[in-house]
Amino acid sequence: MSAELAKLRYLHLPRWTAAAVLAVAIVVGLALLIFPPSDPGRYASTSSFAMSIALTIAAIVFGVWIATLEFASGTWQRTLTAEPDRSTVLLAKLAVLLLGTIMLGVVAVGTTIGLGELAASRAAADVDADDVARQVVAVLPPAIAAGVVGFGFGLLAGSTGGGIAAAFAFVFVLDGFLTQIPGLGEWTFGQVTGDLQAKIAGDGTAEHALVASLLVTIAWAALILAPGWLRILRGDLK
Amino acid sequence: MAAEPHPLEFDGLVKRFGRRTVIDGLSFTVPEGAIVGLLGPNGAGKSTAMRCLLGLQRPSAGHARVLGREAGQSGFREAVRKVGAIIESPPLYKRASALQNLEIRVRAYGLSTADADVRGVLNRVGLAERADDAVGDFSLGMRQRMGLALALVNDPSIVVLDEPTNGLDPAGTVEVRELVKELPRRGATALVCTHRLAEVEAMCDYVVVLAKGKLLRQGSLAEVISAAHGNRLAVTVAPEELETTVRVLGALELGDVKVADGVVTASRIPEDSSTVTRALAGEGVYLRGLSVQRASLEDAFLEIVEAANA
Repeated sequence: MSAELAKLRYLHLPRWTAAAVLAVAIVVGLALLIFPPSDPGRYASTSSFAMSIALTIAAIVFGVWIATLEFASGTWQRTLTAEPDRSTVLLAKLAVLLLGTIMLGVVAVGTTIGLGELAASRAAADVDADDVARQVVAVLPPAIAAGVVGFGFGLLAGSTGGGIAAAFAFVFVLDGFLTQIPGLGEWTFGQVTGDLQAKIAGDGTAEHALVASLLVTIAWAALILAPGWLRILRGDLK
Repeated sequence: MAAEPHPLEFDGLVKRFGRRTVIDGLSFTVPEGAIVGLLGPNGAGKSTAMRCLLGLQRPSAGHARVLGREAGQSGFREAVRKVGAIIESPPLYKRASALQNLEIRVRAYGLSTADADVRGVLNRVGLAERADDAVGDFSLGMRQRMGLALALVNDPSIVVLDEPTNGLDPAGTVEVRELVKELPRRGATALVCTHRLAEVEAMCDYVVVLAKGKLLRQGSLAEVISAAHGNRLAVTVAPEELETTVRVLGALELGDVKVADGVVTASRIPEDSSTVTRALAGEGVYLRGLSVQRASLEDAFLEIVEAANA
């Protein structure tokens, strides 16, 4: 895991992804400061919406990147001579993905909450600070799940572009079509991660209980991870 | 007491990609402390064999072992961690600096940069002054040196190098050759794959020749050269006397007699060269030159591969 953390530190894409998310957090905060909304509820919803989109996209990109780095760099040989157990390598990558997404999420969410509260207080708006915090923190679990989806598609595609295209297509397009399938429609990836977010935010719009949403989210992540993981375990690498 | 396993061993290795057989029953061992040259034309299966050895590719049949262990067996992890390798292109994170690339590598072994003396390794490969530069900005030769640094930084007891002098200038080639020749003195064994046959002659003790995934020849450098072609007797005469000379040398039973570039050569060298001069003088042929053509590995390699293709 130490080597994977070093890659996180020294390679450009994670830094640029993190910088982009933090830029979104700062821009949204500044926008709320400069253009205070008339509806106090917009402080929480604007911050939450912006962070949800930014973190989901960043987590997918980060997940695909960490899954496909050795393919793109031709570095499987050096990775597997140091640790030939492919499952151990993949687990280390997954752990770094989760850790990185959580760290970025905490910093970005903290920035958004701080700036949102500052904007509200300067505008003397009647805003429930806990509500803002809950709504923004609630974007983290769906983002983490999106990162795992990106990781799974990255492993399966074996290329960064292919992985990102497949993950985006699933999260933003295919998942929407799945909602049309009777029975499955209530339990799509987007539905259960949305429920998870709603339950944590406490906004009362969730269709399923927290535990059920969490378990089905984990099941989706496992389902998307499994083919790529098996491909790496059984396949030939360069 | 069980015999010590060979550092590297191929035992009936077969590798197929779909219907295409890339390696077909390859068997040879690399003895401890040796520098073995793995030779073969493009597509011979050399890189695939190396990948099977390191567990990157799964054999379709047979075995590829490192210190007696093959991928998936217990003990393989410990064995393969003693290997430093470059297969085809140097495995680099191009956005990271030379030092950062080495740090990532040594961290994968649970070592710190101080433990592994990464600056010392960069110094050995001549990149100390470029330690903080991104390797993506390096020339081909410098990337090759960087690949060597990565292969050597874990102080391996086995080194597997695929085209280690690719892209290097003459001075760099000599430096890399010296680095490889130094390996046995450090207690390491090396398997080197290269198309530069002069390099193989300069640094390898043993040679293995492959073509189309099959083992064609193996042995010490001298054995492979002499068995395939060997030194030849070269007789230079006037152009109108070539035919007579071929007949005379044939009559002296000097093996395979050929004419090439106006010179008659014979595969067997007589103990007393005066038998040749006397026999030719008896036919009215007067020599312009008589010498021994030293066979090179290149001659031997081409002959072995051509014979296999025929």
